This record gives sequence, structure tokens and C-alpha cells, in this order.
Amino acid sequence: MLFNTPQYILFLPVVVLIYYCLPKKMRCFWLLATSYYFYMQWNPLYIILLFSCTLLTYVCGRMIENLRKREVDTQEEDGQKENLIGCRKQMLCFIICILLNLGILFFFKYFQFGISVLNHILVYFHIQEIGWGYDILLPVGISFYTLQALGYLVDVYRGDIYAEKNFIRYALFVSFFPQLVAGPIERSKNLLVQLHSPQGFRYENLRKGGLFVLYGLFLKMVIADRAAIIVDTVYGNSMVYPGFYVVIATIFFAIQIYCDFYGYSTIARGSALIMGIHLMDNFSAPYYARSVKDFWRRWHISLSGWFRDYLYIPLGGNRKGEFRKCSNLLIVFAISGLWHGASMAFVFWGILNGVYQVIEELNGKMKSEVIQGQKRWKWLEKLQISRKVCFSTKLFQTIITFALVTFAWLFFRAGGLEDAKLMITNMFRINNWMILFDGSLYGLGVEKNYMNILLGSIFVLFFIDYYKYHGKDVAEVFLEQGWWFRVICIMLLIFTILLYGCYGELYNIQQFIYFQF
Amino acid sequence: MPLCKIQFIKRVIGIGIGLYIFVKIVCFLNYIYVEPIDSEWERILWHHYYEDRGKIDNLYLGSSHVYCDVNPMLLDSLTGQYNFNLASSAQLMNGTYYLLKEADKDNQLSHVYIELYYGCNVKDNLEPDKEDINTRYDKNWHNTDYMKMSANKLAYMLSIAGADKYADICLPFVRYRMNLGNWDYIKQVIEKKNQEDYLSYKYHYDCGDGNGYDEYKGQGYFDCTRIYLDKARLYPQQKVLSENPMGEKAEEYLRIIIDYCKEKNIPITLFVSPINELQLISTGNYDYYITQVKNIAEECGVAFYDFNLVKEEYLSIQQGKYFKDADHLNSFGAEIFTPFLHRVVSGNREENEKYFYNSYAEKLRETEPAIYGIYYRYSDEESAMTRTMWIASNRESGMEYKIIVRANEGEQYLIQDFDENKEFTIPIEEEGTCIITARMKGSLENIQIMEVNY
Repeated sequence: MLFNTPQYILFLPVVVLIYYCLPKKMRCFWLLATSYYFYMQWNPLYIILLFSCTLLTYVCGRMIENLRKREVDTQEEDGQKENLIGCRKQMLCFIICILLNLGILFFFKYFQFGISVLNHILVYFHIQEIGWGYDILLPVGISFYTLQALGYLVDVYRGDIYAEKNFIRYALFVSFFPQLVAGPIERSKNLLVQLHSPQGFRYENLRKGGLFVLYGLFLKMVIADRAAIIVDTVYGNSMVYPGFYVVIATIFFAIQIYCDFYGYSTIARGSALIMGIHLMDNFSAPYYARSVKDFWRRWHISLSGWFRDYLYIPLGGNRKGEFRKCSNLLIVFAISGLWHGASMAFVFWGILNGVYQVIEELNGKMKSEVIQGQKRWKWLEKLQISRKVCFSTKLFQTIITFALVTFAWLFFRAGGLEDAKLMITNMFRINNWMILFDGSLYGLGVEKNYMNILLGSIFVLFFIDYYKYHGKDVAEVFLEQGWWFRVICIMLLIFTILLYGCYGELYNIQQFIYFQF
Repeated sequence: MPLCKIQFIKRVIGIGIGLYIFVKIVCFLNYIYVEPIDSEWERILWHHYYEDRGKIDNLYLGSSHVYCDVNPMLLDSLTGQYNFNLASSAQLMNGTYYLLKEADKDNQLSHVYIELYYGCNVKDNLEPDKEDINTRYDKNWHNTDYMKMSANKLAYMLSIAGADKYADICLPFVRYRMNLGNWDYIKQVIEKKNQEDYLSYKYHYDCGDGNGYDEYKGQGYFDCTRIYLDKARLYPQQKVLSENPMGEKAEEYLRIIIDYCKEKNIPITLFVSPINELQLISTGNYDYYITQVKNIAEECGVAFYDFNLVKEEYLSIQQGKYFKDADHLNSFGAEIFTPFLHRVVSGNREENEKYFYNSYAEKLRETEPAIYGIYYRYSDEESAMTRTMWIASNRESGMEYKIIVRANEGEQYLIQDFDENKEFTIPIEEEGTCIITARMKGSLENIQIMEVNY
């Protein structure tokens, strides 16, 4: 069941209505049942994996906590030796659970990829390839809920939170339907705590949540799916559309993937908020970022935060010198790339983003040395470079960041390294910049009228993001406006979606890109 | 009044105003985007139905065959009751069910007649993966667009298609949104909707070639004085009937309709109105369809009459002058058919058997050797350079055909001299006239010469 289908538009109000009619104690049961139903719409068998992951992390979490309690008790009675054994048991339990969960994830997501990489190596050494004739279907959202469950387990192991005693509540934490298949990857400290004390109905939540759902649909159906037509046309016929077509299509892909994922996250937030549950904001105007580092603080915040807290910092973070910091960055981004998809193109995309950040890091270090007035940079002072960051500098930094990130997206979209190479070659094959002005772009599947509306919608997106970039809660600002203004805007949103959105008889409903991860 | 109560009232009013504005915008968009020609008939029909509701006794449901072939005014004079054709273009069986319920809700029905044109009920041969009745949802939403809001209408809308089509079903302008920003289109639509005939729910169309006119006469009757000319006897047949050709959904709904009528004690009669032989022969084996419907009717204990099986001496209607095309009778045909229909449906079932042949094959055997035209099937091969055509004759063998083609651009040429073969090909782009001469095998005397434009 996709968020941009009538099924979901009917499903959500029914869930919400019954949710508020039920006594508070029953609400977790109801949400769990509806979440499992929601997930089973893809493939009922996937539920086994979701349940296994939930059960495994729940049991391990409880075991770790029990062992810790026993440890505290025995510490007072028997001393340090028993303490050490208790710690080892906790660690063993923790490691087994992590390995089992990652093992399941690896099998479903990376096994085929692993076999193909291994076969490449075997072929290189003239050894017979391993035969594997089965297709493993990737269960929807497995990467998301596995990370969420593992995050909980790490928190319990570290003693940051108590293990959840109520299995139903914990199962709901792992499978809460708005964020089940594509995040945000919630932290137990945020979501689990809210599930403990469900809120009563609040009109403000309904209003704001409804607005989020509507805006999310706008992003997905009006911008992302329309931009996808242009992107698919160019990327599907790369030899027919060289040069600037590739540049334009890649820029549109940057917009598409943002609106697709941001749209999903916004609908997820809105759906949860209607039920009084606050999910984290996964995006914070990422294309206004002035550096790649800043971009990753604003893009897929829940994933970046997860990798930061559970991988980057345990690896040593920035505490072990410049070299370790840079290598940690590269490791984290390579793994992040691999998390996105079992393909070398994703790994390369991740590493490329890591490399950007390493360069920025070194550049930043140089800048601070210049400011400190270190001897080896004295010659720079002669150039009298201004240290003041003016608007044009900010704009330049934003454009450069956008260009770098968009270039990296090319690997993401191409799907394979060979295809990416072909697209880059095509990009420089011919200089046809005049297509920007002679109407050729209308031949990419989006006619003039539709293109104008698409560009107008993108402008609206960036306008709203501008406010967001400056730390304003745009939804709150909007809801404070006069009723006539709100009515006009909401009607515009609704009818833009109805008239211009990609759905129904004329279009195939597009799945969200991040569902495949 | 407490503050929270005032706030609650304000919110309810706010939501109400929002919904009102939404509905008004939808109406406006429907007005500027919905092309009136697409569902012109249904618009007029529903307007007149709601004017006539409450006084309908006998209800005729079905496809365009009903509104062309059955003259309710004539029936009024024969029965002394009020008859109405609640028939829409290519009405599907699920549509028939909900239209019956709508009429039953508003009227004291004395009798219901269900017309069962095979074209609406068989599986679609061109799209085998879309054989479900619901796939032709456009034939249903032309009705729901003009029905008044009720629980029955809502149930009908939900039955039309899956949830992915709800927007198209509920909001008509959504189907026309490809014309977004096309000001010429919008201008044309508005102009059409401001014409006198449109505003007064009238319909009159002059065929232009001196060959009659089409006009809406009231009570769901479409009066057409056009005559089916020999030159127009080229029929594109998409369906090839095989065993049990009726779709599962169509059969399911037919049984539901019969059960509904039985439950409500409304007598029901099933029938098929006359179709031109050219079309019937082009189906491959029309008997498959008749047998299936007969079996259902017998099983449910209801009367079924296929007027394509009527013996010539009782109803001599298979003549071009009684048809407007290969599908429908014209008003002259309707004038002959309607009294006969009344005679049969008001008569005794056993006695009625004398009027009919047992099968379509038997009817063809008993009829004088003849040819009725040419038919062809659509090819799904886009690169096809030729079009395969077949001569529609009432003999499997024993007749010979000579085929001469007179292309519009080019010279006349012979495709085959007298031969039993009925199949021939013509270049796909070519237009012209095909002259077919038929004779009995071994005879030198021509029995028929027919010119068909292609």
C-alpha cells in the first residue's frame, strides 16, 4: 500500500478514527494490527522477517537488561570476577543478536551481490564461478526496521534506555506503519517513549498532520513523479540524449529523489501526527547546504544520525587524529552507500560523498590555520583575501555543493558503474547548451504547460525550504495566517495534485524510490 | 457559551465552508473540462429519467440496442402502461444491476426486460489480461456522472473499478486533465455547453448526406431514420466467440439481477434484440453465446428470447432498410420489432417457441444463400502491412466468390476469381471499393453482387 494511492487515503482515516475511539490501553494493539496489515499488503510472507527481527531484538534487549541487573546485584556480593563474567555474557548476547539481524539483512539484500563480486574475483583468477540460480526478493523496508531495532539494542546495551517490557509496544515501535518501510529511522528515546503515553485527540495535530500529508502528496505526485518522466526518458535513452540533456536530467533527478523521499517522510510525519505521535523531521532544506558536510546534516537526518551515533563515533569519530577521522568518514559513507543498495554504484556514490567531506575537512583545517596565522600560510595574507562571508559567497558555496551532490546522484540513478561511466561520457560528448532555450526540453515527455507547472512547483518547494533553512517552522507560520489565505493555499495544493499529479487512468502510480532500500 | 464550544462550532463551520468551496471548484472544473459529447446520451437520458420517475411501469435495461430498437411510446399504446428505456451505450452488467436498483427505488415496476448484447458481456479478445467486466469502467462512469447522489450510486461507483480509479470515477474532470491549460479546448467545451440543445436536453443530429437524422424522442428512445447501405457493410469485429464467451463477472451480475427481481417479485425477461447478420457471422460462432445465456436462463427459470433466431415468416427484419448500421435498428426497424417484441414477451413461453429457430446455425442453414458484407479484425501487430478480410456469407461451403477491388488511387484489379475461399488481404493504407459476386458452386448464375467501401 503506497502513500500516494487511494487505498492509503482511505486506510488512514479508518485507522485514525478507530484509534481515537479505542481506550488508550488498546491503542497499541490496534496500531500494531494495522501496521502488520499495512506491511502485509506487499507480501504477507515478509511479516515473518519483521516479526523475527522484533522478537530477536526484544528478547536480547530483555536478556541484556536482566544480566545487567544481576551484575549489579552480584557486584555488591561477590566482587569483580562475577562482574566480568556478567559483562561478557551481555556482550555475547549483544553480538549474537547483531550478527543474526545483520545476517538476515545480508542474506536478503547482499547475498546475490556478494556472489557476483566473488564470481568476478574467481573469474579474475581463472577459477570456476559459483552457480546461483535463485532470485532473492528484497523485503520492503528491511534496511529501515533492522537499523531501528539495532539502534534500540545498542541503546539498551549501553544502558542509555531500559529494555521495553511490553512486547506489543516494542513490536509497534519496530513496525509503526507510517515509518515502517522508508523511515525516518526513529530512536527508541523518541518513539518508544511516546507509545507509552498515547495522546488524546487534538484538533491542532489533525490540522498540522493533514497539512503534512497534503504537502507530502504534492511533493511526490506533482514534483517527483513528473520529474521522473524527464529523468527516465534521458536515462533510458542515453545515446539519444547526450550533452546538456544528461545535465538537465541529473538535476531533475536531484529534485526527484529529494521530493520523493521528503514527500514520503512528510506523509509519514503527518500520518503519525494525526495520531498524536511526533516523528523526527528527516530533511532540513538540504539543497541550501553550503558544504557537503552541511548537506548530510540536512539530508536523511535519521540515517545520518544513526550512522554517526552507532558507527562513526564507535569507530573513533574525530577523536583519534586527522587521518583516523578521514578514514572513518570514508568507511561510514562507503557503508552508507552499501546500505542504500547492493551495487558497486551505490558504494561508489557513498565513497564519493565521503571523499567530498574529506576534502572539505582538509580545506577547513587549512582555513583555520590561516586564521590562526600559521607561518606556512603567511603568503596568503599578501593576497588580502576577505574572510567575511557575504551573500555571493554563500550563494556560490550553495551552488557548488548542489553541483557536487548532483554529480554524485548520477551514480545513484545510473544503477551500475558502467552505466554511470556511459552517462558521464555522454554528458561531455556534445555541447548542446542551446537545448535550454529552443524548446527541445519539452520533447522529454513533459509538455510546455506541464513543464511550467513543474518549474512553478519546484519554486514553491525552494521557497518553503528557504524558510525552513532559516529555522522557521513553516507549518506553524502557515497555520497562523488568515483563514482565507489558508483556504486558498490548501485548495491550490489539492487541485494541483488532482489536476497535475501523476496518478489514475493516465499514469502508473510510481513507487517511492527509497522503498527499494 | 463556553470558549471551547465556540471554538468547536467555529471549526465545524470552517470545515463546512472548506468542503463547500471544494465542491464548487469541482463543479467549475467539470464545467470547463468535461467534454459534453462523450456522455451526451447519458446526460439527456438521466435528465429525462428523473423527470419521469415515479411513473415507470415497464423498464428496459441494456445497451444502445435497447434505446435504438425498442420504441417505448409504441409499447405504451400496446400495453397501456408507461415504458422507459434506461439504456446506456455499451451498458455493462454491473451497471444494469445498479440502474435496476435505482429505478426500483423510484418506481413501482411491473416488469423488467434485460437486453443482453453479446458485445457488452463477453471477454475482450484483444486484451485477455483485462477480461474483467470492470475494466470497461468508462461505460459505467457515464452513468454515475449524471445519477443523483444516493447510497446506490455510491455502491455503483465502488463497483466500477479498483481504488486506483476512484479519482477518475468520482471527479469527472480528472479524466480530462490532459487538457490542462489547453485554452482552445476549454473554449470549445464552454461553447458547446452554452448551446440551446445542450441547455434544453435536446438532441438532433442531421446525418448530412441526405441519409436521415438522429433524434432523442423521450422515454429513453433514440429515433434514427438512417438506412444501412450496402456500401457501408464493412465491419470491424474485435471479438471471436469461443465456448462460454460470457465473462465471469457479467454472469455473476446477471444472476444477481435475476435474484434481485425474484426477491422483489418483479417479473423479468431476458432478450437479445436483432443485430445485422454481418456482425453475427463475424463472431465466429454466435451459438456459443446463445447456449450460455439459455443455460443460465433455464437454470434460473426466467424467459430468454434471442430475436436473432426469429423465423423470417414472423419477423422479416434482416434487411438494410431496417438497420442504421451493423448493430442497431433504425426507427423503421423499431416500428416493426417493438410490436413483435411485445407479442412475444406477453405471450406464452411454450407457444413462443414456434417463432424461433433452435440455434443460429440452423437459421443460417434454413436461409437462402446470401452474403452480408465484409468483416476484418484488428491486428495487434503495428507493423502489419496488410489487412485480412473475410466475406460474411451464410454458407460454410458450397458458394463461390469473385472479388474485385477498385482502389481510390490506382486501377481496378482482381483478387480472386470464383472460389470458395472467403479470406483475402488488402494493403493497410489502401481505400476503395470491393466488389463481391457470389454464386453457388457449379452454377454459372450469380446470386448476389455487393459493393463494399473500405
